[in-house]
Amino acid sequence: MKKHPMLKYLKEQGPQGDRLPLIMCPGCGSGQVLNFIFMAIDHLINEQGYQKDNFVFISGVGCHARLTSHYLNFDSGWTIHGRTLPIATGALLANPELHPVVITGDGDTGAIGGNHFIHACRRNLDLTIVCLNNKLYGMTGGQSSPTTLNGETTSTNPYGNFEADFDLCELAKTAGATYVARWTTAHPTKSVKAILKGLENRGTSFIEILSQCPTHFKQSPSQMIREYKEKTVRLEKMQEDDAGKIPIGEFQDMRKPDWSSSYRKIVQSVQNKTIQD
Amino acid sequence: MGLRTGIEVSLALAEAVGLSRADVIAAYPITPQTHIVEHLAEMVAEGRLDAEYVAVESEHSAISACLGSAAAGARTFTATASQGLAFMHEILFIASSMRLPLVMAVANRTLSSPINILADHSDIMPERDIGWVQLFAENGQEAHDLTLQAFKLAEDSQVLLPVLISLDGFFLSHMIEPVTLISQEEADAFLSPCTLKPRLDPAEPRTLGALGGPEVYTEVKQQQNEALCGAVPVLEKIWNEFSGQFGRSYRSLETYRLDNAEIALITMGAVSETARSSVDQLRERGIRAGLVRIRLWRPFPVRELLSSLDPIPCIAVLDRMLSPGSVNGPVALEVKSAFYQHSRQPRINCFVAGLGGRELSRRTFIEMVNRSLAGESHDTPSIHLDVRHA
Repeated sequence: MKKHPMLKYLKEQGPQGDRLPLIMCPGCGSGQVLNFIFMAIDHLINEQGYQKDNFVFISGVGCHARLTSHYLNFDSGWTIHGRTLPIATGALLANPELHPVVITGDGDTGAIGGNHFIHACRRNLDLTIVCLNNKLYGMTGGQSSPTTLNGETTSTNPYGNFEADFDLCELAKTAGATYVARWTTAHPTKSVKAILKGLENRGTSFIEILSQCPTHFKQSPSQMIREYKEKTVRLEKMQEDDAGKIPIGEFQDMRKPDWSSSYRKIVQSVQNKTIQD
Repeated sequence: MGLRTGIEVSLALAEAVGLSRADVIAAYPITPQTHIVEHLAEMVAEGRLDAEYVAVESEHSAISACLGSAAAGARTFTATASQGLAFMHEILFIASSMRLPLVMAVANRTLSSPINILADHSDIMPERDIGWVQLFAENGQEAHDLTLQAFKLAEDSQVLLPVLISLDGFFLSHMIEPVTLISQEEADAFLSPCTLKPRLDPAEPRTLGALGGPEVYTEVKQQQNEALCGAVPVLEKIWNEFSGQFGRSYRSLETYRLDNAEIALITMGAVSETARSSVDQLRERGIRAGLVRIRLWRPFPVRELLSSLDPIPCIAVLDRMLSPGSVNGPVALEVKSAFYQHSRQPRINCFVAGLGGRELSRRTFIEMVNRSLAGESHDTPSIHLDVRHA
């Protein structure tokens, strides 16, 4: 049997990888996103000479976190709910050669870790955030999260969510992230390219992937993936009658000095001044 | 009479919050507490409970929202577990020092790392100094009853303190047990509508939590401690009243087969039922064992403990938390302190077991008894049971 080319990045390798099938529910999008991340990293390692050991994966708590803890044959940490970014920040500041990849979810980033999220973007730290947005708290039984759409039914909103939802990409962009994109599990190639671009960007990159949770939305995965095609619209092609559709594409792609460069600059300027004095 | 039915304990507890006619519930999902607040969300959505349900963005926000709600005079409830409780930590002290009566259920689960969602008391024990009344439920009936009692206690004008109810995660929270559910009529007769005087009242403006320097801080803390200790007679009165109305009696601790005992086990939480059946088994074998189960953890019932253990010469305490670097686990420390300078000095051993959901069976309790009776000295450090060495 032919081996999947990404199996080498999994922790254990049997004929199909000992860690397969994934622990996720059938039809969950997390496995797809893991594959997208591997493909982007594989490209960087094989084509651009990135060192495997320089990647470090950090996740918080939620379904997404299982990817980091159970599967990755990389340095990784399964940390505390919402605290991915401070931990990734610490790792990066201690060793600026690292490429921290933060795998997170909508609850982890948009709710309990919201404060860290906006400040990581503001600092433009050189790290990549991949957010699996399934629009609810999957691991604890499908409660509303800050990205649950208005009107959507969850276990804490049995008659529909009456609150407004966060657009995490707009939030990242406003807070200062220098690469921001949203794709879905129905857009694998675009997702891989966005993660790749995010990893190459020297600054904070935020890539949101809408990822289906068939278990809690009680829908078939294929139907949900079809809806990701039908209910989304490319940002640059948005028309007035697209209201209600989810914009996908690149929300931000700009260059600006990242935290480490700015820090080094001020250190150098102070050192030069001291030498002159 | 209420209806005796098979019900998941989390739901039985949530039903009691509904029967208490809570006004505000603020919560964040965390395993294994989730079913409690999920059921409450459902009750609110279906109009069975006229309350505000706030799905907040973290536990820190959940307890903060409860603080505001209780300060505004509303009957307030939240539930959490493990990391969620740890994340609430700084606000827990504020709730008690502001004397805000709110009720919280904690579905005990261990703390990270390694991440683990199963039961022990590692989450609640580090919170023993938060100044709340702290109760431990053993079964579903108790979780149901204590919740109704907790509101009455918290809001009593002599108390005005937050109250928490611990129930072992999964081993209790997710069990389906026979529970006699209190009817709304009975609940209303026991617990009157919330008549809390709002602390935050536009008609009478005041600042909560203002600066208190060295000239007043000590006195504030003393008063808080007095209030907490003063909650005990009120709780006993509430338990008497409850027993009169419902026929189920409650005390700060439960004892089992202590008559003529040569050794007493001390336990907390759901595992006490297993301990009780171990006592039976030991008695059949001719070993005179008994059990003390602590229900009221804070304030700690020293007097009741000493009198119930008199004159038993040997005590084996179960601690479901490893307190690193400490002489013993928190329960054993408390028990040993209670006996310090007491005229009678029984042998007291601390056994640490049942961590991170590791099963506690009758074998565990029998081992505790055997080792204690074999004379392991009480001045040794904790005995760690069932540790598998690589």
